[in-house]
Amino acid sequence: MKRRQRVLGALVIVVTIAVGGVVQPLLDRSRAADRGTPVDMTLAGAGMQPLARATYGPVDQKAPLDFSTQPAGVPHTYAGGQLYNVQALKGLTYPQLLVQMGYFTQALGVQCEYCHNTNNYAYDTPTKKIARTMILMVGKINTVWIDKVHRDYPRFAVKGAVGCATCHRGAPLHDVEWNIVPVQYLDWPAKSTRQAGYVVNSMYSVAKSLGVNCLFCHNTADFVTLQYYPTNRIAHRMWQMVDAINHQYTPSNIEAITCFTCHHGAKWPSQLVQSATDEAPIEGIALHPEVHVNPGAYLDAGGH
Amino acid sequence: MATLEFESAYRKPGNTLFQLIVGGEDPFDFWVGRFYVGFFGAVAAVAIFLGVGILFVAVGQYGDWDLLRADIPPPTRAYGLGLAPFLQGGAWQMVVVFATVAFIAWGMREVDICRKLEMGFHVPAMFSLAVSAWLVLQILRPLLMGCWCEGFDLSFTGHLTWVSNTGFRYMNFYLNPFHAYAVLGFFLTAMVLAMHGSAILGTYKTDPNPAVEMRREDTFWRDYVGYSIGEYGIHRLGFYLAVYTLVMSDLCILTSGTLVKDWVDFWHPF
Amino acid sequence: MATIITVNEPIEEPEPDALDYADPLGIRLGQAFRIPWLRELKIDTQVGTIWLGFWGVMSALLFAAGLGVLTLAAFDQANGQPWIIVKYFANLQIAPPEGLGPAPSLRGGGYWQIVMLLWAGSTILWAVRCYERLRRHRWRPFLLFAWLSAVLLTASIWVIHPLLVGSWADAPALGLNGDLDWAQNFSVLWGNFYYNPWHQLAIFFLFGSTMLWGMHGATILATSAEGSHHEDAEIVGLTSGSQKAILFWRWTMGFNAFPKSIHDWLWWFAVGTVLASAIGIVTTGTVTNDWYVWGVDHGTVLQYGPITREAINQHPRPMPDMPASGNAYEPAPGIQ
Repeated sequence: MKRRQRVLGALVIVVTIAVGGVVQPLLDRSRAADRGTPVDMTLAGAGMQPLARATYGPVDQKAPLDFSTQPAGVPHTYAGGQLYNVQALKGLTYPQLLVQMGYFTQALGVQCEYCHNTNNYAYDTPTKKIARTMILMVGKINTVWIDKVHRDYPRFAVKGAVGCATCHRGAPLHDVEWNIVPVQYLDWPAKSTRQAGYVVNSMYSVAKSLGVNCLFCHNTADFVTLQYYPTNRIAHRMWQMVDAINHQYTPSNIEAITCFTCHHGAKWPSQLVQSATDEAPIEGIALHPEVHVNPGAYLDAGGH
Repeated sequence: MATLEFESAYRKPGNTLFQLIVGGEDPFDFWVGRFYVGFFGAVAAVAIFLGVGILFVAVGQYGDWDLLRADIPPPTRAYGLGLAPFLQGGAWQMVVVFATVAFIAWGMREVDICRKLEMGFHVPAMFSLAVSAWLVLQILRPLLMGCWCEGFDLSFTGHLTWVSNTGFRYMNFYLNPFHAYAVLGFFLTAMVLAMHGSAILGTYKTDPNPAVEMRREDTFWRDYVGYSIGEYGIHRLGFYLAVYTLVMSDLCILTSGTLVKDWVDFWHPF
Repeated sequence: MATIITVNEPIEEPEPDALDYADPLGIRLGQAFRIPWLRELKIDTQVGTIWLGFWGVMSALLFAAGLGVLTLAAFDQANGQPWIIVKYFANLQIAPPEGLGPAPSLRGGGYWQIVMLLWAGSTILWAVRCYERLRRHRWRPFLLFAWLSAVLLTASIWVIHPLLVGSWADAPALGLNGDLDWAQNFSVLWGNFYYNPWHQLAIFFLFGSTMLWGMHGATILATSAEGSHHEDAEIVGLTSGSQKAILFWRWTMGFNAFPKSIHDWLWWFAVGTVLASAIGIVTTGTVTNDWYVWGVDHGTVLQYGPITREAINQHPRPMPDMPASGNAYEPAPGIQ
């Protein structure tokens, strides 16, 4: 071959390697939540309306004190050692309550003033109200959802119960890594291939949130009709739970929770409440050594 | 019998691989009807007979005689790279061994025939590439992954289930770049095949002078797409497209499970 | 090697024909030239000229218009920033609208419909160009039927199947990842395409096409020293090259094709690929909406587990444990 052709051939090879090896990885073809295209990749673009969410109103710790909205009987000043306006955590003594509060601050990575008016800890602030519903939520998660799964699929049970840290992991707002489609839209057959695409994208998010691949729940011979593994059925329950939580508890001004919020890339969540000493170091509110939380301590009167 | 009128001039003894490697005369250097045997033909025949025989024995043992559905699965993960009992994957292992021997022997036999006919070795080279796909899927990749369970089921629809599950095991196999290159190769091959077939079928015996027919081919392609690759060039193109496609296919499955476990995540920038 | 690849001979130009004169845009563009080093690759060295022709120009214009709309849509999606287009090029896509009517807005499927119309027109006009040139050069119309089969497949995917199932959104989006996503989602939605017998046949023809190219290309290259690549001449009278090719296959597998009939095989395998695919697409959603269940019912697929048949018939499918009617969630206490 002539020298010119050798040079040309070498140039072709160099350019191909350069394009393939250097330029291509710089181009972002990822499928993460930030797809980069605002159009048609959102629910709104697909003509789907976002799910109605619980509304708490804006969270404003600096709102001026307005005693007219406080429950009756709440003193205007803190009378040392006397507990007022305790609703969700009824039945705890003062030291027990302080331990509980300590867990909250650790789990959320905040200080007391995040929820409390430090002039009057009994005062109801917006975050305090949210905290109450969160406590109710945790109780409900453990008793309504997780407990049922563990009873029906004991092989998949793990010791420990969901607590604040399971979702919050040291931050007031939970980690959002992946987007998933609410369960209302997960109907088969989907209206079109494009709708199916949203579900498939969600499925990818679910898989990465648990650190597994599609075969963990599915036999891909038929996604639609084969509920092959028990993991598939467990996932149904989990999805309903996520949806119920987003619908009823998570404030609408923050991101919805996803599988990743608790699972954080593992098949079973870490940061579970393992024993009574973790969260409620109190006699009388002993955590069941197996799995579920004693509902009486954490639910308001009239709860589940 | 089945000899063409010009064939007898080409049926000559000698010039076999057996002679080249072993030294003595090939004991199977004859034709059975229209088939050439040769040493490797005898090996292939034995391997095919035994392999198909074991296949049918296994099908009978598994019980499902619907041949579209009958499935001979590989051993489970528990057996790793060891041997498994007949019904727990041993049948699969035996059939794979015999099939591999048969494929390689067939390729060597093609080399023998090329030597006898004094032609180039392009056909056995191509065949070897195709056999390499089988070797990669059933032998090389299971060895790399550490267990025979990674091979595909010997089954008509069962191997399709394997493909489906393997694809989703790596989340989205369409995003495997080698797979994309291979698919491109397959589609280009089909298109170029249609073009070449149409060219010959469109122009043969339309003129008493074949040179005129060839010129008509060239001028049509130049009018239509601006370039005519020529009657030698088109066969080069087709041959190398097929080579490219097979090489990409080999790479696409070799890299899955070994180097890359999630082809979606593969594209996430670092 | 008896290959005639010209390097220094004068350019071959076809003599104009009555059909050439009849075309209002009937010109052969520019001047043909030779690229001598193509001879090293053993392919023809002459490049050009290309025939413009009325139909070709119209087809190219429509295609270019479609590309223009694509570019507009890309800038729209990227909010006018060119670097976003480069960085997310694979993700940019124009998706079809839901339902069968006109799209509610440009972004909501309008772009897709416009590009579809333009490119459908371009494809049909290219087929007319094909027909016209085939007649001019007095070819039998095999290439036209091959192109029309490919158009039939494209129409099945983008037009016929969506019409049959009632939604444009069942067609692929226009875009790299969009098209790849469609392939996966389509199969997931319709019960795994591997079990569609027409898809199986199409794959057989597709892999078979590659196999046949390997066989035919290799055979000709191996015997080209004796001129087997002059296929038109070989069809009229066999020379030693073709005789060897025939004998190779006869001795290897017991039968053989001939210089003409091998091209029948080639053509039917290539066209069979697209035709079988088209039938597979059209039967999806009509004959069955789940190919795995179809396979189990017709004895071609093993049943891997209990099949929840209600799942494929009900819309929407109720989740297990969920009450069949009413709201699954009661409002939590204490929420305002």
